[in-house]
Amino acid sequence: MIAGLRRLATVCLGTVALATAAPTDIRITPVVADGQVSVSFAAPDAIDAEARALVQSGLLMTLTFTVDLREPSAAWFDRNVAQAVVASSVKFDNLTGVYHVSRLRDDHVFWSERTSDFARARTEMTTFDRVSLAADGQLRPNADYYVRVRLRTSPRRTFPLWPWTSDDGRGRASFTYLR
Amino acid sequence: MFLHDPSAHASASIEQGRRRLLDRPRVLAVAALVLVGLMAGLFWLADRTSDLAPQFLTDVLLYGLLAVDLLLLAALSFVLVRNLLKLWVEQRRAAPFARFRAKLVAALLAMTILPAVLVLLSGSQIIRDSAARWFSAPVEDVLVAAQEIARQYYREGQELSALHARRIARQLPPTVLTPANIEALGALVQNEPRTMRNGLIEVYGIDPAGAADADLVFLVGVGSANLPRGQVPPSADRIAARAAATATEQEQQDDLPGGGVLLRTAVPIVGTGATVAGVLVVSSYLAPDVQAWALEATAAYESYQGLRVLGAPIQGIYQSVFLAVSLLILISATWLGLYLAKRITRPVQMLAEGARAIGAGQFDLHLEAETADELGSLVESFNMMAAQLRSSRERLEASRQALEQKNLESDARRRYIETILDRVATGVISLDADGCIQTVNGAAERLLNLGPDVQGRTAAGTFEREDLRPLLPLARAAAGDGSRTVEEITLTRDDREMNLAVAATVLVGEQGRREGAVLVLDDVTLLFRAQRVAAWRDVARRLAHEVKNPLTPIQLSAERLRRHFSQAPPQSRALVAECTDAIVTEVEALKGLVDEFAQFARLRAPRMQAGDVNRLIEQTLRLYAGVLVSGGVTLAYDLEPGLPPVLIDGEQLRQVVINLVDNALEGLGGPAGPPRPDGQVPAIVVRTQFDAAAGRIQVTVTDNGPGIPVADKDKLFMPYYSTKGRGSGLGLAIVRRIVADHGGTIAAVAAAPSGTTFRIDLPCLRS
Repeated sequence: MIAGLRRLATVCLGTVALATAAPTDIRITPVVADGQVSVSFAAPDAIDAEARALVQSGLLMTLTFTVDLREPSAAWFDRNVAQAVVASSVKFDNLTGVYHVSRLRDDHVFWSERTSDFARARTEMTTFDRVSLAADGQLRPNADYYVRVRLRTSPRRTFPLWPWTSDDGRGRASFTYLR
Repeated sequence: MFLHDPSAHASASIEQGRRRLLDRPRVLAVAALVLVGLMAGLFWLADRTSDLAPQFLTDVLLYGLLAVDLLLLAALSFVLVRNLLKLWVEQRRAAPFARFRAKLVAALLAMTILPAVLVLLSGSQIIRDSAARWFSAPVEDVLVAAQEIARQYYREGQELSALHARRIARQLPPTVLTPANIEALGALVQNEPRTMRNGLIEVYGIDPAGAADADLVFLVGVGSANLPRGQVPPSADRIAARAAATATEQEQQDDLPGGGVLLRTAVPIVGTGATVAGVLVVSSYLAPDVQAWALEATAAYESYQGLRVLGAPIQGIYQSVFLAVSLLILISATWLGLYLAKRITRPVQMLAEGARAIGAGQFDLHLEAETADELGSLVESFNMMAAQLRSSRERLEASRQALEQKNLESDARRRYIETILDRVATGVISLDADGCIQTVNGAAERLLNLGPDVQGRTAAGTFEREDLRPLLPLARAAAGDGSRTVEEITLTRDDREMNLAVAATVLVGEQGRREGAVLVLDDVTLLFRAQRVAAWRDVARRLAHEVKNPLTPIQLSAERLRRHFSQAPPQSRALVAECTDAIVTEVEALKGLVDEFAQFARLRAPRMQAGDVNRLIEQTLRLYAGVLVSGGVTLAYDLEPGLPPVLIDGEQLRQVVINLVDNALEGLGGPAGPPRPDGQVPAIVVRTQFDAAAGRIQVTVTDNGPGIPVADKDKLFMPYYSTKGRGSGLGLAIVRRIVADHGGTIAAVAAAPSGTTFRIDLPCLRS
């Protein structure tokens, strides 16, 4: 009985620890050029050894990045100027050793590639270049903004005790729109 | 079982409705079915996890189950906390059977929660152990090996096609890769499939007439005889285009519609100027059964690896399902335990509350039996008992009301009699069988000067008091044989005699038993006095009539004798003169006496008119200016100014003042007043005072003479009583009569330090 309780407590604590593991850091570079606000970001640690094992098990793995362009506010909630949801998924064929990588925006595939190189597949999965967010006309001159990127990994590999878990990764980069 | 209290009917109906809903077997059966359905659904869901997409499992199902678990946990907590709080409150309020119910609930909860928790723990452990056994090393080794074999087989097929492709590509001159040289090209490659077990060779050329994006042109295709005809696509355009575009070797696997796979390798053939002149695609064919084995091995491997990777969330799903089922069982068992405890204790509790309500006098209740079992019979018996008690109570209530009515009437009668007794002038003292005083009315207290503390004391003891001793024989008579004794006694009260007619009556009960006695006291002092005065007036009238008539002949006869013997010898004449003078003098005295008696007997009614008493006194006292001598008695007056007018007969009231002053002068030894032993000057003071509260005027005549003996004070005002040894003794009797005719009273009291004060109270006219 006591041993069972101890095991249960251990499992619970371990699960909580897994569920509350430190989120992956996302490097973000906002770019305002050619009348567009774009953002490049990379989350190289999003696919670690466990994620690689998951990919190589043949399961479809999806990384979903929610990109928000926001204007900070001292008195009220920050204002969301624009939002984009991009995702990358990979499916590994164990028979041929080929990674099939796809990229999606708003649930539509806009790019895909087959490669036998895991490093390349990981780079394609975790690096996004110039994801357009909004026209710069939506920005106020000389105002501060920041870009927030949140990452959710699917399928999840943990057993959280609390169903509403936090993001698997996040990053933030501020900039001042000079004009 | 429901408690029917008409006063609380409205509030209880909702509770009863809720209870009845929960008590319906159909509702409970539906709830049980829903519960079983929920659990079956959970089990089905757990069984279907292998068929569901991993994303759905980990992102939807797992979170959904966790949410369900939390909700169930909250529901269980709610059920437990609510019912435990209710039990706690019931215990705090000392509700009937609260402790018993708490113990029962605790036992039932322990019987349900402990096994459920144990099952949950052991089940969780079993799930974990089972999950651990999913990943045994031999199985993994076999799966890895099988998958590796399949992969290697594919790899070898792929590499074989690549080797052939490279070799044949080196042998093909770029110049033949044109539609014009198809025959030559065919001759070059037509024997190559024979070097392969199951192979397919396809050659593409670059149309030089094409634009920037050169078009690939299929030139030649030859295959082994073993290839399944009709299923193999004749060309490999896509891989060829990719190889041409990238100028690199490309690999591709094409599944065939009828089974099997082609492992293709495309090799660009470089022409002059390092440009791609064509593409050679060599395909190795894998038979459908081989492909199926490879796919099965890979699928098993991927399934195993997927299970390993998603072990934690899948295990979590099983745990969540198991937890949800356990919580459902726990909630059901807990609720059922609480429900059973309620079902068991509620009838007993209701009976206890019913008994308490009946004990508190609430007989209008009816318990409704829920079942027809022994408890139902008990409830019916309780209801019958309550009905009988109600009937008895109603009869008792009617009797009580009648008795109360009688008591009220008796009490009213008693108060009425007490009021009468308290108001009447007759004193009434009741004694109990032991001779103790039970009640004393106000008149008796006043007459005998008794306090309320005499109640409960013995009459004999109370009447031992000096002034009440004449009552002792009557108290003894009251304790005697039951005869009625009536006596007239005289008590001395405030130096005055008081005549009482006392009747002692023994109270005998219906069975002849002596129950006490009653002493009735009537103050007959005034009656006695009036009788005496009336007697004296009658005597006076008779005296005046019988005595006065012979006096004149006697006086005339005496004078005739004196005249007759005026010529007699001096000695005889002197004797006759002396005797006749004595006779005449005494006759004159007798006439005066008779006149006073006549005056007393025929005192006229006063003629009242408003007058000033002070003025009348001043006028009257002036008459004594010539009477008083220097060095003798002093006559003074102290009259309060502003006295209200009084209805008086001036002549009669003047006579009163004269009589009292004369009486005082007599008491002081006459106007000359012999010297007093104490050296004081003999004095008479006349005072008037106004008692505004009583509305009366007080006139006092005080002397500092020797005073009057106490025993004589009441006799002073009786006719023919005099302490002077001379006179008719009618002066003060006339004074009292006049004062009484004026509505006033007169009393003689001792003056301080010596002397006597006559105090007259007269009613004055209200302004």
